[in-house]
Amino acid sequence: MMDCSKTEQLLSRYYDNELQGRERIAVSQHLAACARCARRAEEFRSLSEMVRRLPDPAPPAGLWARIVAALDQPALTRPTPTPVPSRARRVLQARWLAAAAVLLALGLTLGGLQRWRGSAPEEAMTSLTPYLQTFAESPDRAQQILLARHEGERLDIGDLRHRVPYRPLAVQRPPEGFVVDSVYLVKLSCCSCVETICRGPDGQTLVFFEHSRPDCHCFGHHGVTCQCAGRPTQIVAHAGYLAATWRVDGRSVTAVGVRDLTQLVQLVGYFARSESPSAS
Amino acid sequence: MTAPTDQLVAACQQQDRQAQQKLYEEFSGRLYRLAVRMVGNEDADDVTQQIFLQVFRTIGQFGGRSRFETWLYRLAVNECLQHLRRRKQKALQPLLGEPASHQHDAEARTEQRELIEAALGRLEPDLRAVFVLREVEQMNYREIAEALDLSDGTVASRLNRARKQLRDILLDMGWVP
Repeated sequence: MMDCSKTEQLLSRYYDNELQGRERIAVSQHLAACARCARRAEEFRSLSEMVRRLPDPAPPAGLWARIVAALDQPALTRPTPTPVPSRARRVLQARWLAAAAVLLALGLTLGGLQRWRGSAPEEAMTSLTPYLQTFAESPDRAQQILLARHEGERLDIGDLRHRVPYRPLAVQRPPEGFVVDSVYLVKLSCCSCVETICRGPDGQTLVFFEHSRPDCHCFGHHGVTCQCAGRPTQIVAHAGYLAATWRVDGRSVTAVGVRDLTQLVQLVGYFARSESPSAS
Repeated sequence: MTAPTDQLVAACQQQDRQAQQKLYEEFSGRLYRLAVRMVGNEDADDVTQQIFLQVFRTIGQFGGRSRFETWLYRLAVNECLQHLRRRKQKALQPLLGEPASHQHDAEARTEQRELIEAALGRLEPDLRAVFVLREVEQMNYREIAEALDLSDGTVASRLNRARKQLRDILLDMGWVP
């Protein structure tokens, strides 16, 4: 006969009618013979009964109006929750750790980059460092830091063509599964960039800085440069994500918040397919 | 569960405000109830609001690979768990209905309703989510597994732990089964 330990293990399945066949019969026989386990099953029934008796709460009358008002507010003023990592996400995180281990083994972290000073690229890196360091914890807070340190303004997508001489690729065609949350014109040390904040599945935030020049080096001379989707791409690792710069459409693009190398290769390839024929 | 029409979801993906309102009317009762059981009465309004904001902001990513309700409940439970984490970090508010002194106060809690609400508030959030989806939303194990991205086995073991923990909490509060 089934023992108490095994019965306890299967008791919820049995109680919820999720146990079939011989196991169900064995649990049933044990409960008929064991007063202690039968009492446990009875307690399950009592719990269900208590929950069933709870009143059914109704949402407050003004809730829809509140939602509409919040929907009409600018996106960044709303809190952005971080969903619980899904199993798929956990697998990606494991891949990220493997990729990060390689980069970290080479000493390719932002900590090392902070030591660089002087020329324009390093100044850009220094001023971006607080933003990049905060990004993994909270992209929204990182954005506040960025705007506190750099001149920047939020743009209406419809006004973009009047404000910049190119159509930003991330706005025109955000990566698959991502939606454009907001667009800013930010004056970094290297140039004035169009910053596009995209929100994706599982709450991932990807930010693209599209520089006006092809030779912007947001990370100074640090990181590792490798071929991603056939493009020389400068990559730096930070806690939990990658940031990378590559050339596209006669300009350079910096992506922040990239989950792993697999996603980076997909992004570089994706933007390469979006660029104008004359630039490729 | 009543499935919303594909057209309604499609219209919401186009940010159609009328369709959004219909979707709200269809699901607000269930999602509000879920929020009350997960985070308590005080925060349920805010959390339900946040759930719907997230729904409307991300519904474009719903590709129909799972049932819409599954996607919706996954998002809603994640919002509740996220809220509980933030609340724990801030340590500003007690859990739902939890008294300052919870030991041996069954006399003050003659209502079983208050007992179970307080006990639910003391249940570990991950266990609470599984328990609420099963006992309140009447989902089967497969539906819970899909909504929470867990295996059936994990759902079963969490339900076992949830019931045992809940029973222990209630007994500690003076519950007589």
